[in-house]
Amino acid sequence: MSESILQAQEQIAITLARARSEEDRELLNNVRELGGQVVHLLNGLLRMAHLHAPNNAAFDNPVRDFEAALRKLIEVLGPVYVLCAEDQVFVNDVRIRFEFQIDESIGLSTELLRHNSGGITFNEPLVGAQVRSLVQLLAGTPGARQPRTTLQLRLADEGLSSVQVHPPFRFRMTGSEDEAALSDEFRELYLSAARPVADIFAAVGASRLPNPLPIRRMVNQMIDAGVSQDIATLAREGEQRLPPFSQHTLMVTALSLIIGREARLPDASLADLGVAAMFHDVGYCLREEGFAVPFARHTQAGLKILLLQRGFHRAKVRRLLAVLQHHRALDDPRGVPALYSRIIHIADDYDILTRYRPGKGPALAAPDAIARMAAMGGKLYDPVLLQLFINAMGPLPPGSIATLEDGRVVVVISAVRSPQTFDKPLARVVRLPDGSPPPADTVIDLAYAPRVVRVHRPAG
Amino acid sequence: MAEPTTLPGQGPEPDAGGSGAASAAGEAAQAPDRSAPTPVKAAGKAVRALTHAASSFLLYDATNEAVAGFISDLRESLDQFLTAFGRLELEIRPWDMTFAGQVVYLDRDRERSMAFRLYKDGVRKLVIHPEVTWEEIIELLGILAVRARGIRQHEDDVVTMLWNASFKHIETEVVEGLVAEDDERVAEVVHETDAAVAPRSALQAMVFNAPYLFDYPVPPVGDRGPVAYRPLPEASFERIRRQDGPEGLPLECAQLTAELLALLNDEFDPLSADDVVPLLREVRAYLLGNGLLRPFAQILRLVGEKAPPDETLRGQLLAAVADGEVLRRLLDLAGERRELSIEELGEIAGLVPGDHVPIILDFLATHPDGPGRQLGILLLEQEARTRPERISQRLLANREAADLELLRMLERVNQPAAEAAALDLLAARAPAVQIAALAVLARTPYSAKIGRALVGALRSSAEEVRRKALDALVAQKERRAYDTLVEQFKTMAAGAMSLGEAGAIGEAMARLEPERARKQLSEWVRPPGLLGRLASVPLPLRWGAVAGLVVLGGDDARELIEWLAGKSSGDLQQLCRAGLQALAVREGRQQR
Repeated sequence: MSESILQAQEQIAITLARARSEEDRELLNNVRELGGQVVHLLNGLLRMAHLHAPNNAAFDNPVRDFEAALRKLIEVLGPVYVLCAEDQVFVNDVRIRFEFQIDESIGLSTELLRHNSGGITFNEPLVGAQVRSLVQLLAGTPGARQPRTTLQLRLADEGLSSVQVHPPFRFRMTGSEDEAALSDEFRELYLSAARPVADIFAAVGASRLPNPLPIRRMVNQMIDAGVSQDIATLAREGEQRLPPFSQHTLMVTALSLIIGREARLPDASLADLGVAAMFHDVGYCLREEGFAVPFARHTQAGLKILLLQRGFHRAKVRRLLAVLQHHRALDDPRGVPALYSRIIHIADDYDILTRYRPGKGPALAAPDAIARMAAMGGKLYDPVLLQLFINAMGPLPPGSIATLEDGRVVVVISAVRSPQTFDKPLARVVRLPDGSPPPADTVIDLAYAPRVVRVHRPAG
Repeated sequence: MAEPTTLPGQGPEPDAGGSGAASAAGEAAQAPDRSAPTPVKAAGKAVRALTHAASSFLLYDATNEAVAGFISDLRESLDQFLTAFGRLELEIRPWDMTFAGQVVYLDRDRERSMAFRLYKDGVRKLVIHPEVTWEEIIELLGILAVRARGIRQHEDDVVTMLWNASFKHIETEVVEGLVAEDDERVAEVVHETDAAVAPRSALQAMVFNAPYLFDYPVPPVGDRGPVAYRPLPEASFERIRRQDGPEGLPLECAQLTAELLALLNDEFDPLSADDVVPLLREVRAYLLGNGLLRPFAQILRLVGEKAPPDETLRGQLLAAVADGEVLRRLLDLAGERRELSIEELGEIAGLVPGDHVPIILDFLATHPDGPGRQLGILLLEQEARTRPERISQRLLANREAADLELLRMLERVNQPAAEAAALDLLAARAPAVQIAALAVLARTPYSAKIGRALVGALRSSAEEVRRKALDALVAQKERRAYDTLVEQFKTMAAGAMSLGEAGAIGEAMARLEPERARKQLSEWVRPPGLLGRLASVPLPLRWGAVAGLVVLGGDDARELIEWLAGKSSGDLQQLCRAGLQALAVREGRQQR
């Protein structure tokens, strides 16, 4: 037997062993089993609803079973998402098998589609009467206009506002037109990340285990999009349209990816780093005796909730360390923090220092922040990673506001383009020397413009 | 990394300008040889080989020979296709895979079909380019095997595994996720927001509307420092690479373990065993699964040193890192890997809490050889010193197949226990067991009990046992065995016995009772009286006599042997001459 075949076998054996060790079998089995029950029972109830009146005794057992299965599943997962796409049904991202009746999945999908819906979220357990109402509404005649909205309102009227209906879903493809519209345009991608981040925060807020997979996919797309684009600038521009909760999280992720790429981390590691950055502050979503977790304990609170995830994975180990150590100084007596923690620390502090807060403005102007951070290399921050960050952002990072020698005021709109133009990024003119706004959008290259004489800290 | 290896026999792509398959199909049509495979047939063969190889992991262990056969077929068929027809572009559909619009793989069984598994995971197209390397094919096969085995991962699904692989010569078109076709705004049920992204559910809305509170304390930065572009030396990147690479992960596992242990003692909100134990188990499985023994030992020590003093909690933590399974794995690893010495492995195993003895004894029973035994026996030494009962019990449970290394260890560290076991083992029928027991008894301080046992062993049916018993008797200077020995010698000499044993008995007689032996042996050489001289002395007795007299030495012994040399012939005469020579050498040495 040739050596290469034997090596191949060994390598695949390792791959399989590793994959098995990373699997959270307990959770998966629960979702498969209970999720399957919920979907099968809902399907059966919808069929019966076309044959029997809702108060028919034939409903009693399946309604009770559905109620019990849903309650257990919510105990395990928190909100339960039942999504139909093409001929498949997913419960919280796990596909449900239909081994005996292939058409069953299509049946549920068809019922939901009558209401222009592709899925349902159960945020809370339902009691028997609520299950009957739900089935009756789903099997009933859809609204003539905006059927999904109509269904949602009818559900609210029946006291079922915890049940949410979703639009139809389809698979989004790499290379397809819509993908190009989202992924190639980093800003759009950045905006679209808000929802999965919100889901994660909400899950954590309810003390439930967040699923890192949707976040990972989102980060992967950010990495792909970031290959050819200046994500520091795009992120800063895009975040103005983001809801506040996700601005910091996404910016820290984007900045961490910038440092990671400068550090020549491979894409797989960048993905782990990005996911870790997405989760770095989840501890704030938890409550302690009804109150928000204070700064001093948010790292430990985040760690505690993420420890619920089962299965070994290097990303998990690094994520846990990042959550716990991302405020820790390089010279901390407990030891040097882990690599991803050191990266996220720089990204996090930079964003905290430069983040605009309503009524207060940022703590420091971006050029000031980076200069003060530069003085802390080897103490607060890893000097190598900090230098990589400086090399990428420059002395006038994106978002810096500066006055040029000729009196014009500009906002920096690019990160460092080359070592030669390190301190000369692109900028947009926002005020002319007389204080008036420019008549047209004017972008200038500071390499060919009068020198910067002053930087400004945005007012509150 | 080394340059990727190109598949053997792989040629350039047949058409650089267009579709390899289309062009190759054209070439195939013009080719005179009608038996040559068409691109579709060849693609079908390659795809079947790929799916068979991936599915083979369902039936067999990855290292099975059958799997090797499937991988070999895959290499051959893929190589043939890529060499002849260029790139292999497969469309993945729910039930089948197509190449150039034609079905090349079909399986309608949802749970078995590779097409369905890939499809449902979101893979829609798979393209293998002719420049593909063998390493890439194996990585792809590994991913497909994970899927074939039905392993679904929380962290990396197949799509992210394909993405992580960063293939250079394998392209995939995958579903990036589910996207809502949102033609009805959900503004009716959630608050409108000025932000560009509206929440889609009340749950999302709850978070969207949360006030911004993250990380408010301003970092303690002081004065400004210089901000300059500074290229970094390669060594800096190399350090980062090491920390990020596989060698960095075990260190991070240790770091995380230390953090968790510290948080178990947190004053305000300590972690509990439920928080920490599952992760410790996972880390242990990862380290041991990858043979990373040094980091494992480091973590085990950390837990031993830093676990909170509460005994229950401490026990739970230690059990999570190291239990019987770990011990078994260590014993296995002692055989597989030599990066750690047996002593170092012993030190690690010594940190494993709980009762090791039954596990090690079971391991020894199922591993008749290998370095793992050495470790197992080393680990049992402490137990053997203080509480040897269980070891002796196991040793004697099946006397005929007794673990003699255990007996020797017992002798090293606990002689009374070894003596008791050896006495018991003498009752075995297996000569090897009896011999080992006799060896122990030969070195054990003498007692009447031992003497009786040794004499009893002289009646063994196996010559090697009897001879070992002789050695033991001599070593123990058991003079009371002399008469039994002589009687037994006479009986045996009348039948069939080896001359070697006869010589050994003669020597033993001389050593046990020199004076009585001199007389007896002399009589066997030259029987006294007329009748004695007429009677025939059996050869084994004479043989033993010569051997014994050589041991005794002296003029009379020499004279007797000379006499016998003159009267005998063949082997006995040779023995006498050799004996005389030995005596002469000894006497010469004494004179000097």
